[in-house]
Amino acid sequence: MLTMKKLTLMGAAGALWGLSALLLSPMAHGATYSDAGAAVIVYPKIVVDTDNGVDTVITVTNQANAQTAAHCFYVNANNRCTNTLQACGDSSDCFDPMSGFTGACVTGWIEINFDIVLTPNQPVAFSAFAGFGNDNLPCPGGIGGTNCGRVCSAGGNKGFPCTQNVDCPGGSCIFATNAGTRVPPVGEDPFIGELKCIEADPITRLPVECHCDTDPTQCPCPADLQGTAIIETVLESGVIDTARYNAIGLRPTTFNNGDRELVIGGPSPDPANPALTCLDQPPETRCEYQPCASVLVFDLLFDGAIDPISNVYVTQSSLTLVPCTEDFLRQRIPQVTAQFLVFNEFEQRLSTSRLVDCLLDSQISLIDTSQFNRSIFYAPLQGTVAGQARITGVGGGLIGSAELGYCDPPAPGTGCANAAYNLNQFADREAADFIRIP
Amino acid sequence: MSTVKGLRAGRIALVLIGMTLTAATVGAEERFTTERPSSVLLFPKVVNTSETIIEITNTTNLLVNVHCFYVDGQSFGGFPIWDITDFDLVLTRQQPTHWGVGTGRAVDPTDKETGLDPGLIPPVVPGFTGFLACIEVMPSGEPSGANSLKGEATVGQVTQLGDPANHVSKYNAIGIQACGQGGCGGGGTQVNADNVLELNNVEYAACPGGLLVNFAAENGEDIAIGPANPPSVVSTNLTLIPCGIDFENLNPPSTLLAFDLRNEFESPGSTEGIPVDCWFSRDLGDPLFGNQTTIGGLGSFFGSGILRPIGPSLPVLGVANVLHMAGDGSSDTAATNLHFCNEPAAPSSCVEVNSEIRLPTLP
Repeated sequence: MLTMKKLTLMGAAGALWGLSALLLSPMAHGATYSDAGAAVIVYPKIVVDTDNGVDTVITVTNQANAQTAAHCFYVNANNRCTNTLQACGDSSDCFDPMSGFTGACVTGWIEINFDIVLTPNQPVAFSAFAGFGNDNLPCPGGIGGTNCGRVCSAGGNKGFPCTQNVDCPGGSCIFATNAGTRVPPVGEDPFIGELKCIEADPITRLPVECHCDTDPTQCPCPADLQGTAIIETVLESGVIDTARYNAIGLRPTTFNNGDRELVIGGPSPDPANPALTCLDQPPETRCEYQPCASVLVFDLLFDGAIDPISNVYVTQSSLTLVPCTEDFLRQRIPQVTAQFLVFNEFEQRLSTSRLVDCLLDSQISLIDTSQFNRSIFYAPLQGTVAGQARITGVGGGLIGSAELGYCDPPAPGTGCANAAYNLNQFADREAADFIRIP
Repeated sequence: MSTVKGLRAGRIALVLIGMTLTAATVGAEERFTTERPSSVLLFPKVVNTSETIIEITNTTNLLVNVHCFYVDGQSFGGFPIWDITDFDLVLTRQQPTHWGVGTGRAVDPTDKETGLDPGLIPPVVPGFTGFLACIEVMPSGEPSGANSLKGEATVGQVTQLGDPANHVSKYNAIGIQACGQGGCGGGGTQVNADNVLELNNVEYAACPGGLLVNFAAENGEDIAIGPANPPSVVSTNLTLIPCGIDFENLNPPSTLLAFDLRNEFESPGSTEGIPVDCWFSRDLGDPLFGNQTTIGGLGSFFGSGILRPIGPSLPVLGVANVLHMAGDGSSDTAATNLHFCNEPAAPSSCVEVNSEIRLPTLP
């Protein structure tokens, strides 16, 4: 017979267990990575604007000792006029003198894809403005072309370094090359968008099938890509500005069916059964990549705060967010609502929301208003210099990066000294995200 | 009766929540990280030659105590100074805080630093070059493993906007996560109350076996700046600290590294015997790197390499700060966190290493 006292104690014990589990469970970690190799790498912010001297240098490195390939997608997120289809900043750019009408400036989405073939351990880098063509490939191969080391063409050692054919049972020892690599320049200038690269088979352009869960010889599923983006500005005045962040990676689980739908995280088929995970789902919905974060944690200096370094200039932060889910197959513009919970140094809490329509790239004090001095991200309004924003995606996961700038007072504007950095994250999303590739 | 039912239902619900949350998942394991809340934060590059702004945030809804150590990494006559200054912070739920290392932060509600002052933070000496370690502790001073902290450092100088010498770069603190019961691959336990933080995948995550460094060849051309303002130059500064600190006996840690690298043509190179005493900050053009990372030695514009310990020595942690300089002398820096290498198989051979952070004994 349970007494009230016992029940109370057991309830308390249960509560403590639940709380400790909440605090200590491995689930309390987001599972995207900007500091380790990954199977999918995402560069949330790629910018080209030659009129203002802006270009982005992109590096991609194969950290495996075997040849690999990346199937990449540039997502052009330029806004576009409804009447002229030209890129625009706002509707004032959409006046058509021929018709005399002014169109609306709406969210755009144009995707192009390409391949990068990487030899073992190879780093490559290219400018988003110029692209990466045959003339720049380190090892273009072909007649008269430079080759890298030798790798096995097929068989169990496919892609691995070799010196002679006997090293390659079922295949032959051939020169490794970057043949097949062609990175086009970004589709427009100016350009703002995202780059997403998926480790894939160079022939099928699909992720390599992996059944590590049933066949240990396939373990671990490949996670060999890492990358960096360096946003560089060269002004006519001679001033240069550089901001650098690491690409954000999705790491594989122990299963990949190699189809066109990449399943990122997801629920257990039976939440009541603690032994089950998303890997116990049927193969078509089984998770192939670790989940996106449930919460992105963005430490910031509020806009308009006096720069703590110079004590003269003002801070201006910007944030770039892209959805974790993307449907390149059906070309549907992904939309996720970003909820911002903002804490200042008094522990006071304000919140706002903003739709991430393909890509959100905004000065933070223009996220919630068009008048920066009325924003919850404005330092005089918050009353402190530093803040924390916890960003939760509703209807999908989010991936992002941030920039901190020191700018001219009083209004945030041009001429900033910028530095980029990666966001932190907390907890896994329970629902699955998907990348669908053509 | 309804109270009993309610308690029973509540107990069952909470137990179920606990079971669900502790269930095996495909989520990340506790590890060294630059993007997840942790119990120990390391800021490898803290300087007062320009200025460094430190930001630390409590990401939980509970009050957190933090014990921090500034370590002066300068050497005189080949011997590290290893001067340590420690101080305490108290962060309320979700509280962010910041300070400049050159000025510190007083506990003064009337000063220009608005917000809840987290504690008395002393300034570092002029010319300070070293690192900052912050450890989550209980109010009594014993280590706590709640993985509550995250941080960033902004290094640079802003003299005048439009000045070609403005250098601002920002990196994330390196976090060491506590394992917690069953974490770190299943063998984790709760953090114990002693003064030794075991980095062994039982109490805290073990040290990564190496660091992956993606770099532009030293003195090579910047492919974005070069065409607009030639001739351009890129130079990478590496700041490294050993993965293991003894604050109790004030023994400066030292280690020896090998740097195995590849260029874009997949040609290998390597440099062995790079000494890291307490705090290391060198450009890749330094003779210690054997001229293998310069544009002449590397033979391509970009390279990638792994810094790993030689033999039984400690691995290192660090950041890279990259200087981009245009033909007319204008320049800027951009910092980047280095990728961790945890692949034990050859040729990466990044085998995790057990180490420790030894705190001063509590009085």
